[in-house]
Amino acid sequence: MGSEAGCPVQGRFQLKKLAPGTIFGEPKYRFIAGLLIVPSLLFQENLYIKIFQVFLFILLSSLSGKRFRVLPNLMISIGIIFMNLLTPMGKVLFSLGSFYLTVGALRVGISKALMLIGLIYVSRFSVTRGLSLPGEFGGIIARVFYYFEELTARRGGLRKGKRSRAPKSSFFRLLFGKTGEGAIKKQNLFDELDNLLFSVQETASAEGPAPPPGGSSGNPWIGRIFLTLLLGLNWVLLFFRI
Amino acid sequence: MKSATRNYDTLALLGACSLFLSTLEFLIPKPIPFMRLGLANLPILVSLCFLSPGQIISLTVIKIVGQGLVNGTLFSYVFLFSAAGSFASSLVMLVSYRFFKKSLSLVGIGILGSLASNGAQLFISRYLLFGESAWLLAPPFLTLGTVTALILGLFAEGFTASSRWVARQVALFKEGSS
Repeated sequence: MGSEAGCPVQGRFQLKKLAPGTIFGEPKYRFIAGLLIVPSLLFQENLYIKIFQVFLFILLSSLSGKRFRVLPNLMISIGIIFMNLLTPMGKVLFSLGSFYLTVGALRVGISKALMLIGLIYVSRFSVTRGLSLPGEFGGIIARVFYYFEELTARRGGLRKGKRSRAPKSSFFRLLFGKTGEGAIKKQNLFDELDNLLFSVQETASAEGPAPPPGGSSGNPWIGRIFLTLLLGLNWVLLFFRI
Repeated sequence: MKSATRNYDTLALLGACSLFLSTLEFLIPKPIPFMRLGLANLPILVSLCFLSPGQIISLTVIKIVGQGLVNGTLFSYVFLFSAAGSFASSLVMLVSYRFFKKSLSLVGIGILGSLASNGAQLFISRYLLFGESAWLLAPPFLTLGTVTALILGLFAEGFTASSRWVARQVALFKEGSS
């Protein structure tokens, strides 16, 4: 990973990994901060601020060692925007037969696409393997978010160093699979889904129990202050008007 | 891995699938806020054959909370509709699977679940939102629900019949309960 630091590699970007427990806080606080940040993203109506928030979480997620890939995000965004353009709303920009491209539908589409990408990267930033929540149900919820992150992030089956059972499985590939060579055919959709479920579950078991929270010998207050500032910034932006 | 831990793990994975499908459903434009295609019900439908009733209810709770978080409706009336519809659907699917699994396929069970979900939501909208005019919504609401339940049921039927993952979960469930 160190050799890839900051460099684009086949459309993927991975920044130098920082010690997450030091700068970004302990897993539990990161998770709580992530949950509290979600409403500030959901209720944000200003498109420009939403773009800023999305880029902020992509950056934070990359700094904490998670990969960012341009193409899948772009394809998802185009798909969502297209779906929303089918419901015309507001001023017509241009028309093609019975299809009307409207400003309102375009705004809603872009906003929803940003929201999805933003939620994914908030989740990727705030859910770490060290996460443990109190109680049995807390444990299950922490695991749900761990798997959610795995399902949306997965690209290469099992992680590096292990043999891949599902070379290109991911939920997004199943949904927005490319056409041509390597495209998902109808008959092997079930196989792909099967491989994805197996590989995600096997990776989780192979990694064993989650490491103890924290994972850093640094001062935990640095992370807590950082998370508080991050949370404050996102909530201030909710009430900020341009 | 111990049986209980394994079950929780499978439950969490299905919960994550539900959360993902809720996210996906959120992106599809809808004429009424609480009108849903029911994509997030798919993991519940698939898991009827290998999760216990208690785990199915837990999965339903995870799905409801996940949907509330993803859609930002956790503290709104939409959450009430979602909860009522999801619980009604899960209960009806559980009962129909338990008593009629030999005569009903997952398509039939899914359609019954969808009718229960839509019925519960119409009932609440009659008393909380729209009054008598809520029944005007019934035909398109129930038709759309039935069509999507039919498609999801066909998908679930095809997947459970051919899936090695589901077969493994069924075997583990039988092993754990014997």
